[in-house]
Amino acid sequence: MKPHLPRSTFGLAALASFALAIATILLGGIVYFVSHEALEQQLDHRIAAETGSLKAVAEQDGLGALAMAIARREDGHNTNGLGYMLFAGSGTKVAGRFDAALPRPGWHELLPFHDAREGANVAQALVTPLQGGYMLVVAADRTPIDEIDRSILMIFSAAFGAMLLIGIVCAWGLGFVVRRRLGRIHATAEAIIDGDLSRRVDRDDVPNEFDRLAETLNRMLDRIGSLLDNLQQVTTDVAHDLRTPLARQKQILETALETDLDADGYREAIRRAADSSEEILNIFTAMLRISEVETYQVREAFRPVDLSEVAERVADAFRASAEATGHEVALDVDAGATIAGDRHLLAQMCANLVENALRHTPSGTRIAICVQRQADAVCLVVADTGPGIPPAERARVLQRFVRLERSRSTPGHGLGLSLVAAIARAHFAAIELSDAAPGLRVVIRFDG
Amino acid sequence: MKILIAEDDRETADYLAKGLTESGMNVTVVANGPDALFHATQQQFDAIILDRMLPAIDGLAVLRMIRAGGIATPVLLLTAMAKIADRVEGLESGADDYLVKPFAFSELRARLNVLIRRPATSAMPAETVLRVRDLELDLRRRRVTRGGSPIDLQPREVLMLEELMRNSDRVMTKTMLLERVWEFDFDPRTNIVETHISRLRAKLNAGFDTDAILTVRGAGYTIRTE
Repeated sequence: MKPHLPRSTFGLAALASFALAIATILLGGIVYFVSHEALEQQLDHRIAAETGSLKAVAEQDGLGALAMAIARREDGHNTNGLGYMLFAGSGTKVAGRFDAALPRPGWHELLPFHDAREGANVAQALVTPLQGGYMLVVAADRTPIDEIDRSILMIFSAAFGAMLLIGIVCAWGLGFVVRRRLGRIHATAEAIIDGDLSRRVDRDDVPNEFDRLAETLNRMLDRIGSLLDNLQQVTTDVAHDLRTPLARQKQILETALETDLDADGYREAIRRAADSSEEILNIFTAMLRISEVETYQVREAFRPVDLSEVAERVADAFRASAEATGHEVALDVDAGATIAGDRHLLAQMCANLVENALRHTPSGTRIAICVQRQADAVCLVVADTGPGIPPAERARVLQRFVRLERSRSTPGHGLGLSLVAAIARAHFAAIELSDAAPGLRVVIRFDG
Repeated sequence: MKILIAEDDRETADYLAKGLTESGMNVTVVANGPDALFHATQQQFDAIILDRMLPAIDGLAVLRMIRAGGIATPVLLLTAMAKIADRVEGLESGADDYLVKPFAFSELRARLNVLIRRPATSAMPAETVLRVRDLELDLRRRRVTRGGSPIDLQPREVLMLEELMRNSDRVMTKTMLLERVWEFDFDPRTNIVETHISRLRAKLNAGFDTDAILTVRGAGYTIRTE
């Protein structure tokens, strides 16, 4: 199995605290190294400076003066932590109380010596040859460096341990809290899977990211719920609305089967049955069109469309038919009202509104189609002087298959206005039904 | 007339083949993409009826390959979906016309007839006057005369007459006129075309004995050359 980084809350928190502990070790190492080096350099510097001044004494005033200088420093406890030895050419120590064998000339990092108080010890030392085969040894005790080194190590070891401990506690605590919250969301999801669609994720009173997640999830569930309700409603409506033409078709065909008719009689029965299938197909076409528009995929093909031209085209198409039924179609458009959209859908929207007005108003009604260019919007208005729609019913007629009681007798499947609403939504347009006093006014407002 | 039908649904293919053969056409039927491509590139057809969804190579891909191969045979695309995007994609891929299933056979035959003659019509750009019997349409000035006397028509009535005259002797269906005159890709429940045709007919026939526009029952309208 391919190894992978932990992904659980506990694993991630543990990993983070482990990384912090490693960082602590690294930091400790760097501090230890840098301070150790600095102390060593400081020690070397002191030894070199002292050697230099003693050497100057020997060269100017002779070896006797040097021996006296050493003795003065030692007697006066003015050694500043340094030890001195002066050896004659024969290897005999002639001055200094520092207790070690004569080393070879040069730097010594760890020169063993005997300390009067602490016994065997090591020192940092510089051995310098002088005139006449004499050797000067200046040494410094390393004990302070070692002590500081030890303190640094101890401090960082304690910090490392504390980091690990705190990390483990935090990881466990965080994991516990997250797991408990996720557990609640999980339980809600399981309950919904098991069929309780009304369940929602618990909310906290305090705002936090879990609460925000819960809120978003709940909104998503609400949306899915309303879509499901809608789907259920539509399924019922489709079944109901298809039953009528299907039942009619069945009845026509059965009657024709059971009756002796001549060729024309049969042809007439077939024609009526075909009309019924046409009606069923129309319902399907309208349903498919609405669901296609509602996916908003149509937006991908949006281009600039001259809404004035569309309105003019629709008015022209319906004017003759309207006059035949005693309606009047009036057109009032501002030129060049261009919006981003689908010209076929916009034409269908406009046509549906006009047809709706034609079908639901009596002879003598005037239907006005207007396109208005406003500062920040373009409005398509279709208003009639017919009976209008009561305020309480206005929102309902935009839903699928809703037909008002008084239109039951007229042909139609109650999808025309829902397609209009769907096309408007796809075009980011607001649809508003109002009282044209008298009549119905539909305003579709495309925000620029 | 040689027609290639590429349709994988056996029933639809048989229905189309039977109808077109009865109309005196020579029909070849294939049921998958590769066969469609082979026949379309190896033989000369007057028109191809191509289903959008074909096994192995889909109809749109066949269409693109045919067009890429420089074959300009008119193609009528059939589809089971009425999606707006499909229609656009079909026409952009090089289809000459588009028909959504289910369709009436009369609709298919009318569209096919118009397609087959189309190249000949569009090959005469210099043409400025359309003449069919005693009807004359000046394409530039949009003026119409019958037997020499001018007839006052609305712009879209002229457009409708132009479509009928350009396709004389062929049937223009209701949906074809809706598409071409008003650019409607949907079927209004109002009898728009019937009303406009009867108005146009009344204007054209005033003072004449013969009907300028003939109604073909259950199919559409036509203007006969004789």
